[in-house]
Amino acid sequence: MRSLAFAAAVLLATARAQAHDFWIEPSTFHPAPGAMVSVGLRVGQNFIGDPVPRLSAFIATFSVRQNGKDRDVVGSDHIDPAGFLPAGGNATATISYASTGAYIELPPGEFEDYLQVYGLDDVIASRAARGERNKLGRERFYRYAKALITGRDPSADVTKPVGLAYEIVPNDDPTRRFAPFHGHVLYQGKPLSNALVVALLHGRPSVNLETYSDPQGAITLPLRCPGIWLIKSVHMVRASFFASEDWDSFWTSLTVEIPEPEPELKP
Amino acid sequence: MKRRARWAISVFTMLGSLFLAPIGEFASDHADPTDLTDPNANITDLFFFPKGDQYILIFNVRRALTASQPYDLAPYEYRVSFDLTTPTTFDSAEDRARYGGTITTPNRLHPDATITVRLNNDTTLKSITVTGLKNTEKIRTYTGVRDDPFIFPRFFKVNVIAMVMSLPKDAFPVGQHDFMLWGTASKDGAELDHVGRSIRTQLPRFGIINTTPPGDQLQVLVENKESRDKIYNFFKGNREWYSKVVADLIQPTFQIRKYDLVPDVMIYTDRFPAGYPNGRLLTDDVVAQTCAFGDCLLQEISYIEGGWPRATTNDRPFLDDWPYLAEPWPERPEPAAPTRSVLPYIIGIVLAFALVSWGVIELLRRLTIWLWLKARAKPHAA
Repeated sequence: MRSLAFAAAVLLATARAQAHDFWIEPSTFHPAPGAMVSVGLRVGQNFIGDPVPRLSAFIATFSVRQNGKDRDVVGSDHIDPAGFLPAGGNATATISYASTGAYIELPPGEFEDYLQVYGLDDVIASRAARGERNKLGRERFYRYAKALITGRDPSADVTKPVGLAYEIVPNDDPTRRFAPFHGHVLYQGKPLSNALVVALLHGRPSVNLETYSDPQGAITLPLRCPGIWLIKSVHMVRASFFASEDWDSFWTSLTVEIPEPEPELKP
Repeated sequence: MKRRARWAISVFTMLGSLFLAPIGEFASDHADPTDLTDPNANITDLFFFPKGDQYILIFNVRRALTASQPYDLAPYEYRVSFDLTTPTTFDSAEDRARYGGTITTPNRLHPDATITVRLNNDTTLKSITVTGLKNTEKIRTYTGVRDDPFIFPRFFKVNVIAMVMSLPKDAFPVGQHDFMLWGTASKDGAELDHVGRSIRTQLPRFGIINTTPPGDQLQVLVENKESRDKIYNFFKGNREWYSKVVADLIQPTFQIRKYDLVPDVMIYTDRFPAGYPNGRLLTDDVVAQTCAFGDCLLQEISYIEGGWPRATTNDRPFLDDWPYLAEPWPERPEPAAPTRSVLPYIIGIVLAFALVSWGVIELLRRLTIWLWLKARAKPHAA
């Protein structure tokens, strides 16, 4: 009985130590031109998420870039799916979401566990150097999510940043062919080096790829199978002197469906 | 500033509509457009179902008819349009339950075939023009006054002007399984009313698409959803309870819902048994069926105005054979229109408001002058 209680406590502690990813899940990644796409927001772990209803107070931007134009993703508060958009269908479109910040406090141990899980070693080192390892983790987190939905043609727009504070930007349109994912990690519009980037495959939690961005912010993820992938990263910086929190964290994600490989031509 | 002004007007209009909406919101398509000043343009029903080697199309207008002939029908054009080519799928259980199927490219809806009817003032057929169909000489037509087939207490014991057509199946392209159709009423080239799937455009939140072609309706719905969501989110997001009450009043009546972003057409496919929302049979209790999937306004009204238990069949038996609609009710004078007007009350309120405002401003003006004069007259200290 005691061991069961201990196991439950460990599980609980582990679960609490894990922060939650946030991503966009459209009703389809391949809408027909003019079709209505509902845009769900999800929060969870291992690419298994709970629906997040729309709450305007927490939304900084929620928009879609298609056919070279940006437009808001409309939606009603307290309702899931959080938004709707008519698909242009001409070219790949980028749905993006940015949250306003939210404050959270974590006990020192849980905070360090989560920093480790998300590869934020520099923050751990900084806390140690400042003698803050036993201090509460006081953080304001911001969520930035993107998803790509296909159109008739590829789009060069998907290779350009949409202006999120922390963003994963593909080098080419990843929805067009089965190939390794090449992209860049940008923080405040500039390449970020040494950022841990993780890719998860929908429906197969065991598939988990990791890489670190190089000094130019470049990343390569050899996505091994077709399907819906969540590519994500977390960056954390010291909060400003006057802020009530100690740290600002930036959570970014990109959901994209990688197509089946093209069949090889037989001679 | 311009944007703010537009926003303020939207809020004002919506709040005003909260109180005005009940005037026009009652009725399958009976009560729209909300402005019922042109009852001859008012479409009441659209039915479509197979019968042997025929498709039966019934298109009714002129709600709550009890008056005798002649009517004023000659200026109007009644048209049913068929889209036979825009792809439709049937994989979504939700869409099938609400709309009969899924239109994959809603912005491409277009008429491939049309049937345009003009009536004489005695309800006889003046002309029928058919485009895009074959074997049109085999189309059988009935026009005249019949019982209103809508299963809804308010429209029991009243008639409609009916246009019934029997279309041979071979009028349509060979292998035609899926149909999308809608009806319109026009006068002098201007579209005044629209019907697609029953109990859709008469709901207060859909008045905006009554004069919009189906291919453009989704865009209109999205634009309206955006503006109405902003208003709702604004009121809902304030801390005052009365602000939330306004939001809660807006939500069920005016907000475009997550399942509303679909053009208003009737879908029929022979892949499944006929019956609402897969086409519509005369015996379909569309009020109850629509309520089961999210729109209960008419269900509530049928209890408010009807008896117990709620009527689930028509007040007169339908015919097994041509023209299928029940016999008409005897003619009787229609209720006199109200003679009282709300305008004097509005003018009175505006005048009272203006008088009070003038009085307050005049009082403040005189007070200011008095204080100023008093200050000037004050002797300087030695």
